[in-house]
Amino acid sequence: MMNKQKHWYDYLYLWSILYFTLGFFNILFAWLGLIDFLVPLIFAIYSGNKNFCNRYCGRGQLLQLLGSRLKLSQYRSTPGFISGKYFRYGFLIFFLTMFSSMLLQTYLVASQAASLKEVLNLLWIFQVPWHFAYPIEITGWIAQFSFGFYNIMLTSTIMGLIAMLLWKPRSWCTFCPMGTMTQGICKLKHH
Amino acid sequence: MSKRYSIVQQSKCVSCGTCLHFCPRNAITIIHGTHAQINKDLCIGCGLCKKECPADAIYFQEREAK
Ligand code: SF4
Ligand code: SF4
Ligand code: SF4
Repeated sequence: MMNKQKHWYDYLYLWSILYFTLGFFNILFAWLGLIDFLVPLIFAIYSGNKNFCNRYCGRGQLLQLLGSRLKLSQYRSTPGFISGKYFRYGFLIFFLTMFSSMLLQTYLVASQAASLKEVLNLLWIFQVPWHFAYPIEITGWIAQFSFGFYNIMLTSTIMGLIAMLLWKPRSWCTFCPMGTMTQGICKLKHH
Repeated sequence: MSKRYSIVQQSKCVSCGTCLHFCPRNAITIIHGTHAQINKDLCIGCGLCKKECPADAIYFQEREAK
């Protein structure tokens, strides 16, 4: 990045790293990720801007840092269809479906129709045992939400890293559901 | 004045703000959270924003000779 004057929010990539580290030791920290879900939406809905993406997103900064500073990115163009409208909105719908299924699973555990699963389902394909991050037993659904939410955060970051390696540092940002959603809200607001 | 400047193709821009962090002239603004806009009077056509834009939404434009 250019040697511009640094602000406190230019270091939010540390928050991303901290988040994933904490969830490795205790999955309940996953709940803190709700901040990254609510803040961008609040910005978009109330102020009609994408300040979260433009300034405060730790994940975007992390991808930038790894891709450009550490030169891990190939710097090839993101395939046009990926940054195009159909894929972006299609992926948003897919993502929201996965999010709803995570909420449903939490509900099932809460109503004792299902039992707690101490696993992550990375990229919605790979089952990874994560019991080590659940040292003290607590109310089932609170734990289930933690595993589900952490899985979403980690899965999307892994996808972001793959896009960073293959294309440009922030190629993920072209189809990041949160980016698509907040841009969509801004478009509606300023129509 | 530089020979060229950069412009943003609005329909391709995902308003991620990546370009903002690279412009040495602070020539870029995100308008209404929907797209980036480049102030052509400030732009020196260095192409740093273009290199980073993940959506390939930035193009060079030649300045018209006066
Ligand atoms: S598009 Fe997603 S990853 Fe990129 S800056 Fe916005 S919220 Fe962060
Ligand atoms: S070409 Fe250079 S000066 Fe012009 S907007 Fe892009 S980064 Fe800024
Ligand atoms: S980097 Fe590209 S897609 Fe992102 S705001 Fe700038 S012009 Fe738009």
